[in-house]
Parts: sequence; C-alpha cells; structure tokens
Amino acid sequence: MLNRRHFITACCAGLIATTSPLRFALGNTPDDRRFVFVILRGAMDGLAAVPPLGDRAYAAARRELALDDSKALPLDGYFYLHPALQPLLPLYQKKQLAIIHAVASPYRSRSHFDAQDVLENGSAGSAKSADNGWLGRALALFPQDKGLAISPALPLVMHGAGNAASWFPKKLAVDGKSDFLATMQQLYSHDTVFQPYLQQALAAEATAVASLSPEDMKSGGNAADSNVFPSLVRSCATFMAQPGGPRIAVLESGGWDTHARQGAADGTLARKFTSLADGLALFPSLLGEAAWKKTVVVVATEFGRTVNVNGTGGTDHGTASVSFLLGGDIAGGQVLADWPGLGSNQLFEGRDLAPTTDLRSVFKTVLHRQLGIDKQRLDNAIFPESAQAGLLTKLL
Amino acid sequence: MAALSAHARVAANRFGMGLRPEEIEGLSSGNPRAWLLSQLSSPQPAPVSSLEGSPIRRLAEGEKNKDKDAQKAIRREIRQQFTGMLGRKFTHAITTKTSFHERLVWFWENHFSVSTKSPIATASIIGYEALAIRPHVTGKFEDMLIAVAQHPAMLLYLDNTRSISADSMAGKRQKKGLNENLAREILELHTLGVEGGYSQADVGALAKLITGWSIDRESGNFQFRPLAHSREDVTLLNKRYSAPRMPNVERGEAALRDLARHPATAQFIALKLARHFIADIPPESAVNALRDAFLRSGGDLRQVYEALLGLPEAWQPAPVKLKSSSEMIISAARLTGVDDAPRRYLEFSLRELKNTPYSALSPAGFPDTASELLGSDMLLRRIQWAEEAARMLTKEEAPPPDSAAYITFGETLHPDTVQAIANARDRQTAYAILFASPEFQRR
Repeated sequence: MLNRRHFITACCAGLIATTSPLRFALGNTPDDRRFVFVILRGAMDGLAAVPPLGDRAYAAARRELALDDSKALPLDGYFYLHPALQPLLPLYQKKQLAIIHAVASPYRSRSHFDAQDVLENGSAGSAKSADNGWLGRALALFPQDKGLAISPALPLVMHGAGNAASWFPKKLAVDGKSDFLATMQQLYSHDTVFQPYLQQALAAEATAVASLSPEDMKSGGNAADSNVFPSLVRSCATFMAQPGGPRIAVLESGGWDTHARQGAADGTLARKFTSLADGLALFPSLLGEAAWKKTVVVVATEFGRTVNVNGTGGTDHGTASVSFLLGGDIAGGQVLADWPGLGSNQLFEGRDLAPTTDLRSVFKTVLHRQLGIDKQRLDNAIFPESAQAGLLTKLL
Repeated sequence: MAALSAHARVAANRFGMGLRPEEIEGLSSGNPRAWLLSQLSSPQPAPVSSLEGSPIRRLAEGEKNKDKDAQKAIRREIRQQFTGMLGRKFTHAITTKTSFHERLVWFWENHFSVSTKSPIATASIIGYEALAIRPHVTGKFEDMLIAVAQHPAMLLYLDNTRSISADSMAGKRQKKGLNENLAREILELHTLGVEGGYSQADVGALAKLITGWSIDRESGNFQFRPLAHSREDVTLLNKRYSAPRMPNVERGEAALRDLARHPATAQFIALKLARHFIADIPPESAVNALRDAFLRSGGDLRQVYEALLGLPEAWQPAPVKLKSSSEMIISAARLTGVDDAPRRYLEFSLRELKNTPYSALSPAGFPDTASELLGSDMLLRRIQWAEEAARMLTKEEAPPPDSAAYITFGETLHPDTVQAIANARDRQTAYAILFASPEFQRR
C-alpha cells in the first residue's frame, strides 16, 4: 500500500531549519507574543479526532469506531475531522489551525503517568530525569514576564520558573485586603515555598476579580468534567488579555482514557471533543484580532491509543496521536504527517499508530517562533539532548 | 501543659493523623514507638459500610425497562449511601484512637485508588474499604492485592468486567477481546512499578490470566465467568501458567501472588511507604531497609511497618511532609476535639480542597509530594479553608489555641506564629491562623 507523504521529517529531506535566525534577543524589549499549552490528560485518541479516511486500512482497523464521509468532516481529502470537533473547522479553513498527525513524545512505553511526566519535563524519554518542565525552563528566561496555569496545583511543565502562578475558579471570594491574609503574608515571609506562591496567588486573584465574569470565577468542578473546559478557556484568555497579563499559559483537560464504549460519531469521546472544540474556538474572539495574531495554542496528549478496538468498545494505551496548533497568524489549513499507515504491518509493535514526528519538534518550533528562543538553547537546555528533533519549517 | 517530646510529636502528626487532645497524656508519659506499635495489634474497629437495598440489581432492571424515573431515583439513593459512607469514613479518621493504623488504611486505599465513574461503580465503592483494604492492612500484601483485584469497585473502575480472552468460549462466539486496563495498572501501579521490568506482552498475559474476573449484575458481587477465561498457556514474566483443565480463578490468583512476592514489588512498595512517611525524595538506605523487610517477611506488612518505625530517618523532628488536603481536613478536626465530621465542614472542605476520596483523576491516586500538591492557587485555597474551618470547628470545648499550638509543635513553632496566635482578636481567628500556618500544613 502506498503511504501518503505529507512531509518528510528531518534527516531525509532537509526541510528542517538548521540555522536559527533569532528574531528577538533574549530578555530584550517587551514582547507581546503569547503561547498557550493545552494538555489533554489520559491519552486522547488521535485516530478518532482526525481520522484518515483516505487510508484503505482505516475502516477495517477501526471497525465500529470508524467514521465514514457522511459523518466525518473533510480536511484535505485524506484526513477528516471528527464531527464533534466541528467548531474547529472554520479555523482550519481560515488557515488558523494546523494539525500534526502521527506525533508522539520520545516516551515509548504505555504508562499514563510516566508519559505525562515526559510530555511535561521535556526529557529525551525518562520520567525521572527532571523535576521541572520545559515551559518552566523557557519561562525562566523571561523573568519580567508571567506564566499562568489554569489549575489548582502547578503542573510539572511549569515548574522551574519563579514567575509561574496557578489559578482556578473557586466558590469563595478572596478579600485581598483582609487582616487574615496580611497575617498569613507575615507568617509565610520566612517560608521559601509558601511566600512566593502566596504573592502570585494574590496577584492572580486581583486580576480575576477585576476581569472575570462571576460565573467563570466560580465554575470550578474538576478538569475532567467535560463541560468545564470552555469556562477555563474564557478565564485563561481573559487573564492573557489584561495589560501585563501572562504571556505563557497552561490549560488542562482530563478524562481522555477511553478504554470502554468510547463511541464513534456520538458518545463519551464525542462529548469530550465538543467541549474541547467549543473551548478552543473561543480564543480568537476573546483575545481580539490583534492579540490572536500573536498567539499560538498547542494542544497535545501523552500518547495515542491502540489502532484496533479492544474487547469493550474502547481503545487501550497506544503510541502516536495528533497535536493541534492554533493561532491567528500560523501556517494553518494543513495536516502535517509523515503518515505511517494503518496496515497491520505498519503499526508500531503491531498495535499502535507509529510515531513519525517528535512532539518536541512541535514544541520547539513554537517556542522558537513565539518566544524567540534560539535553536542551540532549545536543543540543549529547554529540551535536553533533543538536537535530532528539529524545527518544523512548514509551521514557521 | 508541657509541649510534647519530639518523638511524641512525630508519632501523633506524621505517623498518626494529627494530635487529639485526649492523646496528650498517653503520649507524654509513654513510649511513642510503643504507642504506635500497639495500634497495629489492636486497631479501633471502624464502622462498616456496605451497600444496602440491592440498587445494582434495580439499576439493571431500570435499564432493561427503560424506566428513566426509576433509574434517577436509584442513582440518587446510591449517591446518598455513598455520601453517608464518606461521612462515616471521615468521622472515624477524626475520632479514632488508633490513627496510625487509620493512616495506613488511607495509604493503601490511595495505593489501590478507585473512582466514581458511573452509578454502579459508585455503588460498588461503598463496601470497598471494609472488604478489600481494612482487613489486610496489617496482613499480607498479596492477600490485599487479590482482595482488591477481585473487588467489583476495581473490576468496574479499570474495565475488567467485560474483558474476554479471544481464545475462550465467549471470545470465539462473540468475537470479543481483552481489555488490558486493569492488568496494566496492576503491574504498573499496584505491584512491580513502572520500572519493574515488564513488557507489553506481560500486560497482555496478565490481562488473559484475569479474564472472567467480573461481577454478577444482580448482586453486584464478584463473579468468575469461566466462558470468558483464556484456555491457553500464558507466560507472564518468563513463568508459564499452564492452560487449565477447567477455567478457574486460581490461575489468576497464583499470578498475582507471584507478582506480590516479586523483588520489584518490594522495591516499589518500599519507595511509596518511605515517600509517605519520610520525605518526598526518601534516602535510599531507608527504602532499601523497607524493601528488605518486605522480602524477608514475604510481604508481611506489619513487619514492614515495624521496620519503618525502627528507622531513625522516619523520626526527623522537623516536619518534612506537606499534608495532603484530606490530612488537613482530618488533623484540624482532631486538634479541636470534635466527635464527628460536621456535614457542612466536610462538604465545604472537600469541594474547596479538591480531595474527595474516590475522585482521583487517575488510577495512580492522589499525589503524595509537595510539588504535585501545591501551586499558588492551592495555597490560597488552604488559607481560605483555614478561616472557614476555624469558624465551623471551634466550639467551646476546643482547647485554647495557643496551648494547642504549643503542645503540638513545641519548639518547632516559629516565633511569628506564636505571636500571631497570641495577638489574634478571638479564639476562632487564632485557630484559623494555626490551621493556615506553615507548621500545621506540614507533618
């Protein structure tokens, strides 16, 4: 069977930038380019999100989970979009959404927890090799900027910078001027962990009070609740749109581990897609045209799921999945994939979509473009030992 | 009253779930290590929660009859029973005289974490602790492992109930197959650990060995379904489990016992215990000592705890571990001496601190290290919570906050904390300051 080559990766065709024109000197003039990283926890099924209807092995491999072109939305004639992701289609058509398929982190086993650690620590594959994250290391280069995670606890990817706060909706209002808070600031002044966190929390809360709607302030739940994501996007975008707001943000969405009855066009997974797409589609209008042009949103998950359906109408832990790239001024409207094929002899270890693009290439490309971090630093410091994961020139 | 000795403080707060006023006398006069050991021999019995009124059978009937109203009512009933169980669980943790034993129950329940993902799963969780965890906390690890892996709560949570071996009678007839979720997490999270040296083939092998481990949809109890069980030889970690003459549950149990006795399991359990009791990054020597105790005793957990209590590293007088949200909720209530978990206090605390038992987002359970537990938002939540907790908990009977602080923390109290408590405008504010203090948030 012929594989369709959407693009050829690094070593083969020299499409990867080997030089790195630095757009901005590090830590120089204030910059208004922004970057949002959305982590889908639990392993999102990339073959469900962006099904390759053009692959002749697809329908047989996916059996009852397969979509046909009466339901799936055409992207480029080969790849389609899941119908529940419809809110993203206009962005694709406006070239504000690029999709990278058959993409995976360097992690090659199938543990959610280690895979999420690798996704976040930016290592060459070891969950243990870092106690901080690639975004934290990147953020640390810009001490005058702020990072924000929409989450109660700070996710690993943001660890490593002193200027990373977390914020999440809560039911109780915070009175930043209360005597009690003043007392706690005093008590925490000699606690190296608590002191900076409290300062950041109070700053974030003040922004939230000044700018968020009362509903979004309180819309709590947890990150796995399907319906919460759009509200979290609203909060995130509102924070970023403030003068002096965070340039780098992280959003999380959980509950993607669809081992049983995940459904095809409708069902559990479709509902999660709806919420994800509804949320992501809010960014352009919330940020406004000018800011949207300077923003890139990257959506990624720790690994994909098995190509074949398991015994219970779901899929088990796999390897490659898809990543979405959104932004007002990106090379969108394309599905980038060195497509490995779904034939049984083309699968990774006989069961998974084979990874042909390194997720770190996606991240590095965006960090280079949005934060102006040079390739040398990306290869060694932000993503250690990652020189072979080159920049994706087609996205620049 | 005098402050507790450093050892007594560690016994009550790090090993136990937080000092209760009644414990002061015994801890001041006795040997803290003996106090902890005696809890292992004679733990205070906990109220037993079990599912009542067969809602699982009625749920199945409601589904069959497509009776939406009946289903809704049953779901509400399950929710109420579940909330009742949570209340009893916290009340016991708050009031128990054997809170070291109780901490171990919570530790293991988090090790074998299950979540409420459907009404039937919620129903099955109600009796989980009483049946699968508590009876084995001071017994053999392998017995707990098997009790957990055969409990409907785990079978439902990790999708084993419908897993069918392709070579089984049912597999051939229905063209159905495995679901490897439970098998993978048994290897990765319950026994060997992710670095325990197993392969994808081993995941598939264990999944086959536990095919047919399911539930009876009428009673909601464990049921072995021979027609779904693999009839082939299965090789797991280079050991062959021969094809059974008749499909049986013993083959899977034998595999689990072998996993439980594996050196990688000893290493993994030792690391988790050391991380829980000693430090986020525990010293290797301590982990090795616990591992050796586990291996020597064939996974006799009581002997592992005894080894733990013998480690000088575990008795560091300075608080080294950030309390989890549940630990905050329980220890604050214990310090004020309340005799149950006030309903409003529990509802509020669990909602704001995002730590309701059986709601962990992954089968790895809730995290156990400061960097995973904290962020600026979570710290602010803890401060807000402290103010509300003080309002809801501080009754007349509560001990004076300054002496409660002094007895509990002794010379480890920072002078600023002493000062702030002394200057508080009332008792409630003083308790709020104490609960939010860096000292109280750690153990």
